[in-house]
Amino acid sequence: MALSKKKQMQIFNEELFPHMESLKTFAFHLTYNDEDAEDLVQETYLKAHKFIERYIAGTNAKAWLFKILKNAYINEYRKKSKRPSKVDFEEIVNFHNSDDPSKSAYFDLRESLFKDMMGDEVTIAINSMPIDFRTVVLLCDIEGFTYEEISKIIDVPIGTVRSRLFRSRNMLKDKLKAYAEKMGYKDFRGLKRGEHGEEE
Amino acid sequence: MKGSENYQDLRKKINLFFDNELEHCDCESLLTRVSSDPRCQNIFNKEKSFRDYIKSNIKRPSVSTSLLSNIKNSIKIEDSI
Repeated sequence: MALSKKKQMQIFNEELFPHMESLKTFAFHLTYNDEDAEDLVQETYLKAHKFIERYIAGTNAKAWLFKILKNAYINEYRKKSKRPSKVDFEEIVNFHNSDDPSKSAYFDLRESLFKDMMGDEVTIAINSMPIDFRTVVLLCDIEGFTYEEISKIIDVPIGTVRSRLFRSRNMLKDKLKAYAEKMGYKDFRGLKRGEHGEEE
Repeated sequence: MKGSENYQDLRKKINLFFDNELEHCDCESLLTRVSSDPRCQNIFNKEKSFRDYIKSNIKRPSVSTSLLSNIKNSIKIEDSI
């Protein structure tokens, strides 16, 4: 039985519209700009309206909306913007799959100096990652989706979500470390006294 | 070699813990290890700081005041067709 217009609006007001801010954040990090992000969010809600009969009230509205947004981005926005869509996974895997402690070491974010790193370094670092890696970090670390939910949103097996997340975080740590070094911060931990030229 | 494998396992377990993907009993054993093993505690705290840092510093652009009304208007137009 088709949903009445009143019931549809009730679903939108109670279950779908409350996720607008999260959708905007996700869209912003996919499109890199505010106006396109709002267009993508609007497109998402219009598609949700079109397919509202497929949504079961009281289920996972947030995951449903994120899946619609991700598909809308891939199918429409990315075609228009002609952004490169292919990721050379081999190249990235070869570089980031290592779990060598020395490679995956990163600045200790508890250090007080990081409190001075005000700016958009996190956004810049996330936005510079390939789309597939950026997506899993946004879905897991920012939005708190489970591996199973992410798997359904981006249509990949859970094992792929897990490994992609692991690589994405290593990539992000490397980028933040590089950024900190560029800003003049040096990480001397792990070096013996005198190795970095400081006075004994 | 064995130390390296242990390190990998530990990091993976810590990742799963922060992703809420670790079984309850494994969570308990990890937390016990964290409280008794300084090396483990260090890795655990670093990962926690990293997650907190990312979450609190990512840009979250505000939604424009007109977006909701635009969507509602578009839905009304679609409904009327």
